[in-house]
Amino acid sequence: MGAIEAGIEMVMRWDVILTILAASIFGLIVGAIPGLTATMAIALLVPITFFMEPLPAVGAMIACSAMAIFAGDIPSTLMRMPGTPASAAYTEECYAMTRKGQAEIALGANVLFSALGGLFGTVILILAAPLLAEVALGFSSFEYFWLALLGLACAIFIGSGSPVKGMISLLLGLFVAQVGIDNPGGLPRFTFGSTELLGGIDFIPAMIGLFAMSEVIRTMAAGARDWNVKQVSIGNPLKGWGSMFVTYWRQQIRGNLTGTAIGILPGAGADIAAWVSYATSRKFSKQPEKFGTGHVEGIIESTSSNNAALAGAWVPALVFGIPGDSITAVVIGVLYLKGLNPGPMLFVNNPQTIYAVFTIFILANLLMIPLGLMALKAGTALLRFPRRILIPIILMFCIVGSYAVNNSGYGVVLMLVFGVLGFLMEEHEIPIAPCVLGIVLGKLLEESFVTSMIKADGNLLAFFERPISGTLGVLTILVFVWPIWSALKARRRERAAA
Amino acid sequence: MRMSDLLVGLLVLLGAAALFAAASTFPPIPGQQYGADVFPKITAAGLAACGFLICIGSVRAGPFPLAQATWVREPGALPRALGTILLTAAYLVLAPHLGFVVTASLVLTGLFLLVRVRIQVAVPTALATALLIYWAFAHGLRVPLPRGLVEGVL
Repeated sequence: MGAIEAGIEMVMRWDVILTILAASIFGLIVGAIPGLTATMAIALLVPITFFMEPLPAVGAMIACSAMAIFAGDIPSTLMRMPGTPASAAYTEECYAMTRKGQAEIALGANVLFSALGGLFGTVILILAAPLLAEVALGFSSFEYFWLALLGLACAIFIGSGSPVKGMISLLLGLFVAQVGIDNPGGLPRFTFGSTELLGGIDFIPAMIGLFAMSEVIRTMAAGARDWNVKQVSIGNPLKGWGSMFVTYWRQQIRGNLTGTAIGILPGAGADIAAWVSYATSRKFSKQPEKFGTGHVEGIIESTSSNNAALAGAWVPALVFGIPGDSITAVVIGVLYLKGLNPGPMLFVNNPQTIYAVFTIFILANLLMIPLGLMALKAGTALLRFPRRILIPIILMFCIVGSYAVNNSGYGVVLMLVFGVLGFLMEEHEIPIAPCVLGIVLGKLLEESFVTSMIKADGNLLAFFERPISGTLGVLTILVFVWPIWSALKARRRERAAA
Repeated sequence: MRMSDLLVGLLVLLGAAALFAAASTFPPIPGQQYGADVFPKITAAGLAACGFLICIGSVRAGPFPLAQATWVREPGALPRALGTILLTAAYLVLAPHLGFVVTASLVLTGLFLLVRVRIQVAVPTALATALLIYWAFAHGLRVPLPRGLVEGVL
């Protein structure tokens, strides 16, 4: 039996399918609640996947994240509040359609094109990942160093906001990754005599703190008031599927391509993909004046894009162990825990698992259509659930989840510390995502850097000597230099104008 | 509560200095030039550069308050944020003695009351949630949540 059949067979088991179904429903619920992001859904899911076999665990995370990104569109459309940051780019447009009485068309487009976008991204993942894995087999510490650095650079400069603050967040993450004894010298660093810190900072409680606890503190501070959900009658969301598909096929394909490409880029994910695609759609549209007034064109392109990005982000995650976005950053942590160390060797030693992962991607995106349509019907009821009850319960899940990782209060302490840290960071407009990537990539970056320095005897030019390593190096430096150069140019122009 | 960028920058600079000082005490790998201290030192240098840039940007932007009360102006916001943090810390202290179900019920009731859920709703909801989570995690996933006072009952 070939690896493909073996992979499919691994998925077609009732426990795997049921897990995927349950995780999908969980993802739909979390994604549909504004303020709770797809990454938070994943962070809360991780302690539970801890007790699963590797494949259902991975399946649960794929299904949960795909559904959460789609479900973020529901509150966008119904109450002008993006459920996840990935929906923010086209929230105004969706809500404008609702005001025109076309909520069902916007939501229908969201379901259909999210699923198609996810499937497109999956196809690219299936085609590109094994090819890249073959190339990656020849990689040495030099290439891995540049790849890790490129991922971190993209996270700082492609995200919105101040690059200096992004950099602080990243360096903070790198510092966190340095705690413990697992380093080139085998020396206990920053452990302050604690035996628990010797093993390093546990990734999962840190993640739950940064993504979930910080949001709980913020919402509690604001009083956890209920949302003002207006009753919107949702007609038949299947209406117009055929005509939208025929009229806007160009936008759909362009969204899929942009999304997948941005997803593959290490460090940039679904939210950035949606912003870029919405802007592209407007730029190339024949009716740009209609954008912002409730026009479905931009919605189709960006909703295709964010779900395509999700699958794209798995390419660098599986092939190099470098996360494409913050969701895959968490996923990589789990893959290591499950003994499925990501990297090209996974494709050589364990191809059936890779095919099983691909199968789950296809399944999850197909499931999105029926489950998504059901979620639309349940959407308004879900948003009426009182937040002042919901948020404290989420905090209790954060506590139990962090405890379950090691069955000790240490996890809860970490969760609390990182929760407060995450809250303070966001208060000061310091983004969280670069910090997470720093924590995940810190060890790889340090190990590959120190190994390379020892190999090259301190000669920095050796980082550019191998062809792929040299190309990656130049690319990384460009990502760092380009924003500085363009800022300087803008300033010079301002001075000339003055 | 938001500190001015100048304060943030100074804090980052301070942290960078401490990190560099700590890294300087790490002994090298015998016979190697690059050891456990290299990366922390690079991180510290990066942080120092960022802190410096933020300070400069803040000073250039002109007069500024040292701290801004953003959401703190809203009545009750600060006590609610601190209450959430303190209740989580209280869980850590109490759970080993009182056990999960009792502690979680108390913490949840506290959290509900913070956001003005009526007490007749808060107490039963807290108890039901605590029992449900205990059942799911301790029985379903076999997480050894502390039993404490209810030892032998559940």
